Parts: sequence; C-alpha cells; structure tokens
Amino acid sequence: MKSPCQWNETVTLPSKNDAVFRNGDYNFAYLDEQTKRMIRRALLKAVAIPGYQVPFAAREMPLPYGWGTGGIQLTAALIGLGDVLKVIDQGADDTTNAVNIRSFFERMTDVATTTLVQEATLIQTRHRIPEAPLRADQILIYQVPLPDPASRLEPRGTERANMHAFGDYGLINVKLYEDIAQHGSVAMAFDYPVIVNGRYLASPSPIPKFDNPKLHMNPALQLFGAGRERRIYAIPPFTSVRSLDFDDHPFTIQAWDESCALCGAPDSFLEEMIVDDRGNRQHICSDSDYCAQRRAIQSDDVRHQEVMP
Amino acid sequence: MTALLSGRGLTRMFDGNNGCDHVDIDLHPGEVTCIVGESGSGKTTLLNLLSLQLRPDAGSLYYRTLDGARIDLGLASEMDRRRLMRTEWGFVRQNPRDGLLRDVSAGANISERLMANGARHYGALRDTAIDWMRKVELDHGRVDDLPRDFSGGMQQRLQIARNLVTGPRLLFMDEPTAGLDVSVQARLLDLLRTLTSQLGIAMLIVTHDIGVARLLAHRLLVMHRGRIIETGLTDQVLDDPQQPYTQMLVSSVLPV
Amino acid sequence: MLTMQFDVAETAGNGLAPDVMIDVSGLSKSFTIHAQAAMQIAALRAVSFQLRAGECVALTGPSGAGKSTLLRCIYGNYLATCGTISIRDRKRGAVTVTGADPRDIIALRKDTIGYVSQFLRAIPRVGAQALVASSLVELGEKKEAAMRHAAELLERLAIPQKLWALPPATFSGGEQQRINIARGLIADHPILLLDEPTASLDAANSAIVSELILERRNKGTAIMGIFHDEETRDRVATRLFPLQAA
Repeated sequence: MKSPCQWNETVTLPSKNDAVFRNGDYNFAYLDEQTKRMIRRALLKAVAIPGYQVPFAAREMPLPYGWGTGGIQLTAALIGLGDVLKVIDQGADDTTNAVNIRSFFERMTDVATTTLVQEATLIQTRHRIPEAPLRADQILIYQVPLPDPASRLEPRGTERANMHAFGDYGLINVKLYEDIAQHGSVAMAFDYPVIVNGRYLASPSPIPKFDNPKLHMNPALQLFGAGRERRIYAIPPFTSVRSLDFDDHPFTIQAWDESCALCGAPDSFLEEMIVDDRGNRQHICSDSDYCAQRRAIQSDDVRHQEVMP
Repeated sequence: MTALLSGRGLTRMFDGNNGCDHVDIDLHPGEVTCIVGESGSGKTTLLNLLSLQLRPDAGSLYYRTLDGARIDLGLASEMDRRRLMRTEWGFVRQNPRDGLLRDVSAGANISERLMANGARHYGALRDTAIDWMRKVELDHGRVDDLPRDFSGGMQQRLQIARNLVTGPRLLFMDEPTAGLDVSVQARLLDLLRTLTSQLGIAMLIVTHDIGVARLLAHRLLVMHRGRIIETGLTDQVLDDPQQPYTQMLVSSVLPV
Repeated sequence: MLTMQFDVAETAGNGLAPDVMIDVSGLSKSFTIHAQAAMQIAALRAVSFQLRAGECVALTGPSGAGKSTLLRCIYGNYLATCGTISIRDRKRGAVTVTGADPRDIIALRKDTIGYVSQFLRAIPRVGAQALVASSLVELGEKKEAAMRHAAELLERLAIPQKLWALPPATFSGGEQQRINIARGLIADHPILLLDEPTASLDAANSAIVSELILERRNKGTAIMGIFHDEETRDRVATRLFPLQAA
C-alpha cells in the first residue's frame, strides 16, 4: 500500500474545460461547479463506505424524476473532455431515453460518445449491465429509482436508518422467506437486493437478477445515483457483492432455452420481441451493442471465408 | 446480583403529572410479576422504561447477562440494547397488530427474530415456526396464512410465539388479554401459565385486570400516581391489602 | 381421649427445636379498614405455640376467634402485624415467614407447606386430574407419573372417572372440596394446613378424608387444621388449641 508521502507526485490536471467547450449558454456538463464538488464529495464518501447510501442535495434537472436525474447528475459531475460516454437503456443504445441523455451530454459537454462498450470510459445505464466484461479504467453509472430495499417493508425512514446502522436486516430476509413460502422460490426477478462488502444492504437498481453476479469483484468502479430519493452509493472495484439467499434456496439467475435469434449468443440476457404484425416473436439480446458486435464478427468471418476460399 | 433486571429510582414524568416516579423494582428468573393499577397510574410508563423503549429522566437499570456480569443499561451501546431486545428479551403488545408484521405469513412472523440473528436455512426456519405454532396451540397447517386471517386471540398467541422463539429470559407483556373475549382470555392465560412454568422465564405483566394477576403472578406490584404503593405475594396483596388504595382496588373487583 | 394443652413459646427467633416444624411466637394480627376511617379489627392477639412432626393440632374457638386467620398467617397469605412465625423447611432449615421475601414464601409453599383452603380456586380450562397433578409437576415430577398419582388419589376420594378431564368449576360443592383436598395432599409436604376440609362432605366422604389425614399424620406430617365437624376432629386430632376472640 502506498504511503501518503508517495502520493505527493506531480499530477497533470485536465485543462479548464471552457477552452474547448463551445456552448456558451450553459456551464460545462450543465451543473455549476459547486454542485459538481458537492456530488464529488458525496461520491468520495460513497466509495469509502461501500454500499452505504450517502444523502446528497440533488438538483433540479431538465428531466422529471423517474427519468434518470440521479444518474445524469453523477455523469455530469464526473465527465471531462477526455472521456468517451456510452448511454444505454435496458441494454440498448438506441431507445428514446438513451438517445436523449446521450445527446444532452453531447450538447452540454462536446465530449465524444460511443455505442461500443470497449471504447467507453463512462457508461450510464438504466436497468442493465453490459454483457462484455468491464475494465479497471471504466466507470459504470446506474440510474436508481429506489435505493433502499428496506423501503418496501419498513415505511419509517428513522427505522430504516437504524436497520442500516446496526446491520439489522432481519426484515429483508423475511421478505425472501415469504416469497419461498408463497411461491416456492424468491419472486424478485429484478432489483434483487444485495449485501455489499459484507456489510450494507443495497439495491443494485432494477437490473435483472441475471446481472447480479457481474456486480461482484468487477474491475470497474460502479456508482449509483437516485435523484428523487437523493442518495448516492458505490461499489468500489473488486468488492464482494452477495445476493441474498438461504442456504437451502441459493440464488440462481434466469436461463432460456433459446439463443439470440440475431447473433446466436447462448449466454446473454434475452428479451422477447414481437417482430411483425402477425405477432411472431423472437428472443433477442437485450444488450444491443453486444449483439451487434457479435454479428459484425460473424459477417466479417463470412466475408473472410468468401474472400479466402 | 441475583435479580435478572433491577431498576432503581426510575423516573419519567409527562407534564409533571403522569408517569413513573422513583420506582425500585427487581425481576427474578422464573418469576411472574404483575403490575396492577388504574389507567394513569404509570404502569405502562414503567413497563416501557424497563423494556428500554423509553429513556428515564432519572434512575438506573441493571441487567444480569448470561455469564453473570451486571451491566448498566443506561451506559450500554444502542447496538447492545437492540441485540438484547432481539434475543434475550421479548415484548408482547396489547394489540397484536402492533406486534406482528401485517403482510407476511405466520411462519415469517415467528421466524423473523431468528433471521435477524443470522439464521440462513429456510427449511429449518419453517420447521421451527411450525413447532412453535403447535406449542401455542395454533393449527400449524396455517403457517403460511397472514395474521389477518387469524382471530384476535390467535394473533396474540402468534405474537407470543414470535417472541419466545429466541428463548428469551425476560418477557414483557402489556395487557396481553385486554380486548379479548372472556373465553379466549381464559385459554390464553392458561397457555401463559404453562409456558411460564415450563420455560423458567421472568415475566413482567402490566394489567388492570386483577383476575389475570391472581391467576398468573407470583408477585404483585400496585401502582398509583406513578409510585409503587404496595408489593408482595399476589395472594397476600389481594387477600390482605394494607394500603388504602389497594383495599379500594381489591374491593372494587366484581365478584364472579 | 384428647387432652387440652397450652403451649408456651420456648424458642424465639430462628432456632427450632429438633422436631418442631412450626414455631409461632407472640403473633398478633389486626386489619385496618381504610374505607371506614381506618377502623381496626383485631383478629389474633399474642398467639404462641409450636407444632411438631406427627401432631395434628385442631384449632378450636368461636367463630371470629381467628382460626382461619392463623392458618393464613402461617401460609403467608396474611401479613402478621407483629410476632414471629418460623417454619422448618426441608431444604433450607429454619425459615422466618414474618417479613420474608415473597420468593422465600413461594419456595416454602412449593417444598414444605400444603394448604387446603375452604374454597377451590379453579383455573380455567384445566381438568380436575391435571389440576391435582400440577402440584407434583411443579416439583419436577414427570407428567405421566403425576397424572397417575392424581388418578389414584381421585379414585380414593370417590370422584367418578368421567369427571377427571373436566374443569372443576362446575362441580358440586362436595366434589370441589375433594379436588381441593387431593391437590393439597398429593405432594406429600411435611406440613399441612387444613381449613375446614370436610365442610361440604357427607359422612362417607368425610370418613375417607379423615383416613387420608390419619395416614399422613402417621407418616410424620405435622398437621394443623380447623374442623367444624367434631367427629372428624376427634378422629384425627392429637390435641386441641383453643383460640379466644382477640
């Protein structure tokens, strides 16, 4: 571990963004600098206490609550001219929300954007984790509606604060027990609660439980922003994240009999799409970038084979 | 210190009039103590002080732990206090709806404290819940039913099971039979009597019903205007009351 | 042939002579009725005596002389106003009842003193046999064995078997009284206090009860009782102790 005096090296700070940023009507990344500092302070706390929900003074954003204001504020506080931003919604780069948020940042920062996950340094996501493994130089920013899994069971904020403070999570296990008693298995397919770093209970955001294993020991920094609830939390790189379960009812992820109809992937999260007016359905990768890259490789292979007999 | 829980000079007043005024009390293992008094006597305040739900204005509270050490509960950390309340102590509320989780099954209600203490095997938890439903004479086939599907008396038994599942040494009860039909009361009291003698728990019961006190308690404390004015063996206090207020209280009981 | 004797207190304080089971010294009891301007009613005045193992002392005297009061003071049901009551406990030696901690009295009642009152305090839902067996269960006996003992005693007291599972609250006075007696006698305590044990019984049942009392007396139990029925009294008592109205 580095000792403090070794950290006192000369660091090249990024140049002031105003020099290259062309939009004179707004501050870089929309938020004023003091707000960015406030959010960064909250982020530092969040990273220092993995899974702990840090309150922050969420600002009014040009989107209503429920449309990703928390995630946008995190991205706005972190983004710099050297970044490459990817925005996905339910795994797709081309849905309305993803397109809008991406173009928002293009106008507010002039920062490069991409759909390719390997090129991105910042990835803002709603409700999915990319299929491709992430790297240590990447940050994944989640949009979170309800940060506290306990809020479904305990309406009193003071009591929830006590639960987190004392690690008193009996009530959450009660929910799991009840699911098994009534349905034979835990009924949560999305937003499956986790214990971060063996200590704090957190919501992984409404990602499918299929994605929960990716939270664990991820080289990337994972940050979570809830705008309406005004909470920020973090899973630092290589942190243990355990999905709640019972010894005799262990956590399992979704599986399909089918593979992706477009790219043939057998192990990605599939969505069932209605593909024509007659109601025909297909299972297709939810991660559009993952699917597209696989198809690109396959058509490259085909062209390769055509060129080289 | 042989007492399990000892209060000295416990005081908590509301508006200068009602509450608890310099009360000394000792609770011993295997002993059922009843606090009787009319409404406004301060008995519920005393119960809440002893069960750490209220902080006293003055006075101290000592508890003897399993290994025999005596701890000052006023100085104990919140963590330790919560652990005590979750494992070694139980609290049965007057209205079972206040003491049960409304939206989860009987089995989940009974198992909650075990899960809070780290139990991680669903099958074992369910079996324990079923076992306890038998002990409190509930149909164990209803382990997956919600509390609202049970009658008031059954909900009260469910609450008792939920508290006893961790094998507490001390059980607090606030008017456990109030609001129940007389026949239902009788069954519940019978259950409590049996459990007391079987499990060797120290019980503190607050009640305004002297019949309940006579049936259940070894020792009786009479509270009036925030003070304990008489204490002794239950049958002695009821058959040979010394204080004017106690005599009035006893003579006011309607004969059966 | 019964002789009348007046006891003089030989020992005050904690020490008890070898076969003395109860020592009462200068016992006075008065009641203060606060609702009636603190009116005082004297029930016992300076009573002293000793009860030995194998004795059966019959308390005599007019109504209001304090016979029941005396038994209740010994049992801890009434608080003595002044004086001392010492009891030989099986496990603890001499125990002073006057001024004792409630827990000590509870222990005494459990191990040493049995009490048959005039009225049966029925517990809801508990059947007669289980009620009688409960005293033994409290002493640590296994339930099945306790129930068997209870059955034997109930048979002896001519309680029909069909009543055994029923709570005695609805029984006749005589039946209730016999359940009461069974409850008091089953645990084999070294001291027995009996308050009108045959009050509601006919001649036949009284005779059964007398026999039971005699058996216990011959085993060495120290017995003190109030017997309004002279025939029973003459059969079981070894001596009389008269009380005068205080």
